[in-house]
Amino acid sequence: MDLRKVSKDPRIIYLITFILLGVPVLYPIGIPIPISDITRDVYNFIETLPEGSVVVIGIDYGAVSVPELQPQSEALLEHALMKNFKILFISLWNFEAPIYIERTMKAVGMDDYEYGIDYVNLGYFPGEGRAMSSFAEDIHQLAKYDYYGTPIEQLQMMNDITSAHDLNAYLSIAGSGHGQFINMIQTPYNVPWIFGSEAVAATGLIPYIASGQAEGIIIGPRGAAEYEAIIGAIGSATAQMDVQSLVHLMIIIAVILGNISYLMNKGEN
Amino acid sequence: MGEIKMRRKVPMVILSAAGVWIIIDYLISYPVIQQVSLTLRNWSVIIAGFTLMLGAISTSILHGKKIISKEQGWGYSSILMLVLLSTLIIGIVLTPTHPAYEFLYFNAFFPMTTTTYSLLCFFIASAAYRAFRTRNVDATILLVSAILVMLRNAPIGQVIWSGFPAIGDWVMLVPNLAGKRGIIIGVALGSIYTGIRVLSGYEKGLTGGGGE
Repeated sequence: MDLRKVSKDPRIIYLITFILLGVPVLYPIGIPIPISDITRDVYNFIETLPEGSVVVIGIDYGAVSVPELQPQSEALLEHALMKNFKILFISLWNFEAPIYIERTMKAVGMDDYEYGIDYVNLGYFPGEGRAMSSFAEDIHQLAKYDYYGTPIEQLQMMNDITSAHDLNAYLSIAGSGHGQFINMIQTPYNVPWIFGSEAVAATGLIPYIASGQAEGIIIGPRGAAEYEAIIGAIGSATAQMDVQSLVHLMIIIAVILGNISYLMNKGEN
Repeated sequence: MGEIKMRRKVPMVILSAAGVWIIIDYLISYPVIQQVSLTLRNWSVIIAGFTLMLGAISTSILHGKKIISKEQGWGYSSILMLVLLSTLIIGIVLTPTHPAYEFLYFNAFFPMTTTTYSLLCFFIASAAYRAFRTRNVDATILLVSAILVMLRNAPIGQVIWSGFPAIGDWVMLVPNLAGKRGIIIGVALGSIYTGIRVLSGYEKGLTGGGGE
């Protein structure tokens, strides 16, 4: 194949990409997914929390991040329910997030748990850092009502949860804004923190783990697939892995072939 | 001229006073200071909610003018206004938890957004072949690092060779960590400097004047 033809007409690459995206979805290959230490650290930390711990699941992403972050939310919620935690859902960064809080609860299934006693959904609060700061200092002053309009005093679970001091962990699954969460909630109140982030954003969060400000991170759909394997709840992230593997491999081969073509042209000139 | 000066000075005084009060609250634990600080922060959450509405109002005015004067593209503006108003009315009247709102979101907005972003995959694949070149040493190091991290992230990396995840982890945990740490510290120092300028009134851009 003349590599220079591919440079002039990218449709060949588009076609190969399309095939590699579509075929593994229809005919899964089942490439093994090894569990990395970085994901296992998240699991191990959550396992150390006792039954009845108060855990915030902060869902802060929109439509663009759903393929990477929705599987993480579902896996973490599954694990939190297995451990019988008291779960507080909230969104402090992305105004689309409440719809994904609902979607996560529906996907995992909350029928065996009682609203107001086992879990509460506070919805979205605008203001980013300001909302985070208010939430951390006095939850009842910020959130007078839950997402469904129920006064917070009528929710039994919230009687003992008034500030960030009452939280045993914060599982923050966000498309961005992690730095503000750390500045406004984690560091001033020393809340144990777990990140759930897109793969592209994970590199910026490693310093917080190295400094001990966060206990661990779930990185992209690969991290979610690993977490699904650990807790034994195979889901959408695992289904994505064959596609991710093949497309990544294709991009690597494309880079190598492109540079071979470039060097060959350079040599001829 | 005097009126303009007052219009800039009064907001700056309010801004500085509120900012300093919140800093004092962080440093000194005293009930009255805490309560006022918390009230100020809760007020700012309410104001932030209004700014979301402001975006919708600005968009409506812009596209409304286009529709009325039938400028080029007024048809697209009409569709935008129709969708904006229907989503707003459904959300307010029926609430965002209603199936009608979820239907609109997951059958219109969600597929369009994810489709638009999915196109990036094809462009990246094309750019990988046509644009990512090892023109110099820096570009070569960047490309090699990117390939190693990709092989760490994709399960197939470990299938090809069991050493790839360890190398990818090293790239993330050593050179990446060092660089990102420097960026975080630099951003933090810049934020402190900007904050001091804003609170001391030197940053006049916030009230329409030029900075010093």
